[in-house]
Amino acid sequence: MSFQNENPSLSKRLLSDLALPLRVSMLALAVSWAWLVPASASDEDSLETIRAELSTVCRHKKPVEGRFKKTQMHVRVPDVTLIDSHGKPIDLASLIEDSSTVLQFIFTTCTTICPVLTVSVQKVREQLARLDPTLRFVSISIDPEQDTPRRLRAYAKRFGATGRWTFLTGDRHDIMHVLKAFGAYYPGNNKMYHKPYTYLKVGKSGRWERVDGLMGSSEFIAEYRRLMQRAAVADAGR
Amino acid sequence: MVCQAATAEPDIALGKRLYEQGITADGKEVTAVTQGDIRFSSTQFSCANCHRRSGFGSSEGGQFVPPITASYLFNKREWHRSYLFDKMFKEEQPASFWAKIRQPRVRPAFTSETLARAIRQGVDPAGKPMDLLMPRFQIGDADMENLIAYLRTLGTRSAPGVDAKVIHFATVVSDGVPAEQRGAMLATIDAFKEWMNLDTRGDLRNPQFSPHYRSDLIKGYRLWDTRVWRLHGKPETWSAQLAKYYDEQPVFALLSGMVEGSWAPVQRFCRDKQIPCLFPNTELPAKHTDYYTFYFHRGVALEADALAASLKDQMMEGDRVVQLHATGDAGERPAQAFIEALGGKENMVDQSFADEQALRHRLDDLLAWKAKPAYLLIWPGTHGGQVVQWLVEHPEVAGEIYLPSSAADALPDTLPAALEARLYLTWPYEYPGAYHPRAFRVRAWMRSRGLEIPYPRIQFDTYYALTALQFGLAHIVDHFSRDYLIEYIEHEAENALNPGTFPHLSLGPGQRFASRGAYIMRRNSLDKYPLTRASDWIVPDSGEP
Repeated sequence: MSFQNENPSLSKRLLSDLALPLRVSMLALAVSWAWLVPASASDEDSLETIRAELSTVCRHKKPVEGRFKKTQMHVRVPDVTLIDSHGKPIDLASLIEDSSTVLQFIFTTCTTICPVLTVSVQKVREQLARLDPTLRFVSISIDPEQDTPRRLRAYAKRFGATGRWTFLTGDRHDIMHVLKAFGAYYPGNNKMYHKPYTYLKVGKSGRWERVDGLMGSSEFIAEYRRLMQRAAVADAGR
Repeated sequence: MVCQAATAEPDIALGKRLYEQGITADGKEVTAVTQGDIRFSSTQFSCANCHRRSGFGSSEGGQFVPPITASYLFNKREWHRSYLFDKMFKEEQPASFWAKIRQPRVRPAFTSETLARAIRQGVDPAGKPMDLLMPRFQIGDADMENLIAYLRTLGTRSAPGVDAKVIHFATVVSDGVPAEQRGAMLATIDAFKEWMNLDTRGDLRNPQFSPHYRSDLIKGYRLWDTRVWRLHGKPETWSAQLAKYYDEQPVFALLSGMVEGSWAPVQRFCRDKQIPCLFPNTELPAKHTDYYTFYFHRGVALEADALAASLKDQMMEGDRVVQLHATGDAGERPAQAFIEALGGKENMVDQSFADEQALRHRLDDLLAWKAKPAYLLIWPGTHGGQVVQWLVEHPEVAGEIYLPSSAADALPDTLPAALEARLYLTWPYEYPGAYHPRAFRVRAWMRSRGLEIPYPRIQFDTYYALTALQFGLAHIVDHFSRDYLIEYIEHEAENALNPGTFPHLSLGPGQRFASRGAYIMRRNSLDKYPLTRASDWIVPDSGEP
């Protein structure tokens, strides 16, 4: 961005905030005019993924597998104390390390993906709890200064959350540590760019599966069941 | 009865309610299914949740929600990259997003029948299934007609205050505002407008300046006209004065601003005229926010809440609190907020004063107390100077003394040691000396334009309002919808525009206060910065839900 003139024209203004790699991809876009040039992908999206997805869409076939991007990951839960919806301090590691967990990052004024993420937990909670009684559900606000315990309580009530479903808020920096530990930190330091991640963990292990995408109830249950089977096989193999 | 309802003229207002709140004509919710098998109620999330009140859609977490204003729905689909610029290049998008916006998938214009099918069954007019995120709503015929009648109006009204060449804004100032502060704010706005328009004129003279994409955006270019709406007399008369100004020249938005006392009358005007009101410089926002006005923070009520949260943690049993407050909003509102946040007046003496003489009387009374109170809180209103002067003469009147941030300017350069040891200020701003890279940029911008900076916070905050507006207008291009501008500001306030006056500025859908906490500060004359932090950033669990 020009130091001398911070009132550039509209197009310059739009361009000025873009990092160099983006400008390069825009240049490619401009030259091609039509939007057929694959853009630079995020760190996690390989070109192959884009091509695969594009070809899937171009054939107008609904992908059977690959509607969600799944990532296996080990998470070292940071040593932070968060606050639950009743204002009670909660040690995050103690809460989730010793039990099977479904974890999501949400915020209460989010309009598009958080209500769908949250309602998906609401719909599968009882059924999953029957499959795995140790299962705990955790929803962590990524807008902690807005989402005070009072507002989290109202949000939890809206989705009929009770029992082993904990809603957490806390210090902005602590939440950022948690987001980073789970590889969920969003670009631009703007929560509006967060991703629809659901994290699943069976048992006490530190091994999580991250599902990127909005799952339906049956997909959610099937995925958790699959993880349980995999964990059982792994246990039997030990 | 069903037949009667179905054949009646559709009710646009009921359609709007269904769109925005998910409530049918007979006051019920409808059910819907998303992601294939997740059933939910329309009040859990309605059409407006994703497509937004403006109808221009949204983008969140890689989920692209297309616009559904009347001109989009009832015409053949055509993507134009100028309207997708931000979503494509300013946000990080997954491969699925790129696939979706690049696929050469067109559809014919919707008709009422195909639109009803899309809403109920998720099939577009070309017969193709829509994204699973789009809920399949179970809506009866009469309600569907109302909804479609509303969608036929969505985005069709052009907002006042903008024409083919000029977009108009106003800044409200009232009598009683210090002339120097008002001047600093207005000079910032003038400088910004002047440079903005110079640049815009340059590009407009050469509309084909870019052979590729930049010229696509020129349709959104407008020269800025900023005007000052001066209010005189009592706040009860402001509404009529504002209406008169507006009749003379409608404006697209109100920008920054400064009035004596509460901003509530201006907020009411903005609500009635549906005008975005962007970040006035005020410590007295209206008690209850509405859709149209954005504030930096909750002002003195926030300071009181943060102080109560802090004192709750440290108060010992039997500690007495004395609270003195000026009559009028600036004193009564924080005093009331403090009492509510503390849970009542137990062990508290709460007294008001209407003028300087009464203040002196209240303060002198404290000297007669046998045991001095543990905490003395004073919300001095316009009497900050007198309060400080009295405290300098009687520094040991209480164990700890608390003043609001507005009293900081009244503090002399050096304080008696006894006062410095027990004086604290509530501080809903960034602490002095904090590092914010953008502060350097903003200061450089001002200096390079010969703009003096006598009131950095007022001027930097004004600059934030200006840039939020500037980037918002760049985003909406030539879709001059006020609601769309508001949605953009909600979406992007958290981006890197914070000029360093607050630790963190962010908004989200429906949020109207960009900063939500405060520090407790103490005076330290020997430090490089005479105000230093005595607490962490405190975010009280209070305020509007």
